[in-house]
Amino acid sequence: MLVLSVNVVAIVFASLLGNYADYILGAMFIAALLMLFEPIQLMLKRRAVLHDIKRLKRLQQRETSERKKSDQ
Amino acid sequence: MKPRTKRIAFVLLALLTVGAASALISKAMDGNLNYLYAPEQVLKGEVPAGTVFRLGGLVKKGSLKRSDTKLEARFVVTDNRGNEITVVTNKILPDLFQEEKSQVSRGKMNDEGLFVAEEVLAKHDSEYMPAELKDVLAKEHAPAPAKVDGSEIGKMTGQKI
Amino acid sequence: MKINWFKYAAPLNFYSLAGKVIPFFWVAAIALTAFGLYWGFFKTPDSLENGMKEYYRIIFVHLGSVWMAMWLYIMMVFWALVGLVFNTKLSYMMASATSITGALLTVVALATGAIWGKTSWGTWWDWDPKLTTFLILLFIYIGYIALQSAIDDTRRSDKASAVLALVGLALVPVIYSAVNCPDPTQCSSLHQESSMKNIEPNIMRGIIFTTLGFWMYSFAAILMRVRNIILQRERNTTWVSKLKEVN
Repeated sequence: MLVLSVNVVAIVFASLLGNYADYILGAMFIAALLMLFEPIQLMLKRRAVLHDIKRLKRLQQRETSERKKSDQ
Repeated sequence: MKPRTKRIAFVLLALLTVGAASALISKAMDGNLNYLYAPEQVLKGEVPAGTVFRLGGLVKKGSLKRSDTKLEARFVVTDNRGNEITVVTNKILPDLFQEEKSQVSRGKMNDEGLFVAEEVLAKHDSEYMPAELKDVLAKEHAPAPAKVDGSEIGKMTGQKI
Repeated sequence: MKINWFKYAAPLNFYSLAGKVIPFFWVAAIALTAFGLYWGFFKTPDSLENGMKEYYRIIFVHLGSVWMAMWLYIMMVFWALVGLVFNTKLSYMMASATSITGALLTVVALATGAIWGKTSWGTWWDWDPKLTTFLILLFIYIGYIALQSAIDDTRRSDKASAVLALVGLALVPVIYSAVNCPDPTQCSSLHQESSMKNIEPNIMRGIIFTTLGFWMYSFAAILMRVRNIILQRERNTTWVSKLKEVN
């Protein structure tokens, strides 16, 4: 959604300028925007996934240690 | 939203997308057969009267005339085989629009036999050669004969339009 | 040297291999694209014989994204088919990772094409056969992604979306033939044909290098995504819990 709306803004921007150089820049801008957006999103996603796994692991460790305590 | 309604929504979305895709395929296939009409087809009466259609063809050399008082341009679309239709438009012509080049305009015929265009588009080929080089080549070789022979017909009605 | 390819069908091995090669793909992607753009902008003529001015240089981002959008679709179907035939988890993950990059590049292709179309043809969009079929390609990508995320059971969603990808494959030849059909009178269009003849060598070099750059970019992005997918799907396995990233 964000990507799409930025896209639309970029196209409108390029059309307002109306000069050829700006058309080229508009096209480059859109390509760069989308192709930078992807790896950044992927890195953020990776952090989130790793964070999730760590949390899950800690939860499991706490559970097992608590079980051990109650067993004793 | 319950997970199940979410799933249903997603499945519907997927179905909708596929439906739109197939509908557009048929639309495209339609366009494939008569995306545009050549002047000859129009003069033969293949286009039903009063319908909006696309007219393809070359802009005849020396035919482009712009009005001095208003934003109006007239030019002749030809297939270089004698079939010609005069186009009149009050829209801005694209940068690539030139005489002896291909164009595609959308509009309909009026009672006087003029094609009134709501939109005029320029068509170009996929030959990306520098302008300077072309001039050099043209000087080296003898002046090219006028392109009116039969071998051009395929190109006229097809890719080049 | 004999490499045991099946070793890398195991998510554990593929995860570490992908992690090692991703930086190289990024370096290659940036270097090739930068060189291609440099060549395309500074070593090519400013105006073309067919009347186009500087704006034809949009071709350097347009063509690469068009080709990659179509190529990635073929690769996505390839991985989906491998998954259907061999029932390997990893190939489904590859198909799913490819789909999003493919959809993104389709958007890039459509957007840059629209800008180029505005400058040369005089319109952002036209229901031309080639443009329409390419828009459908985007819809099929979106359909695949939606279907994949609609079904929670990954084994089922993988299979269902693989079938969809397969059906959609019928479109790729249509996109190509929408302009390049044998009888030109049957497929007149606004879009120029995709012929590679008569291209000035410097323009050609720019096109080739940016396309290679986009290809390397696709590798890097897809491998990054597939690593995320592996972690998500295998998070309950012991090998993931032993990774140094989570310790």
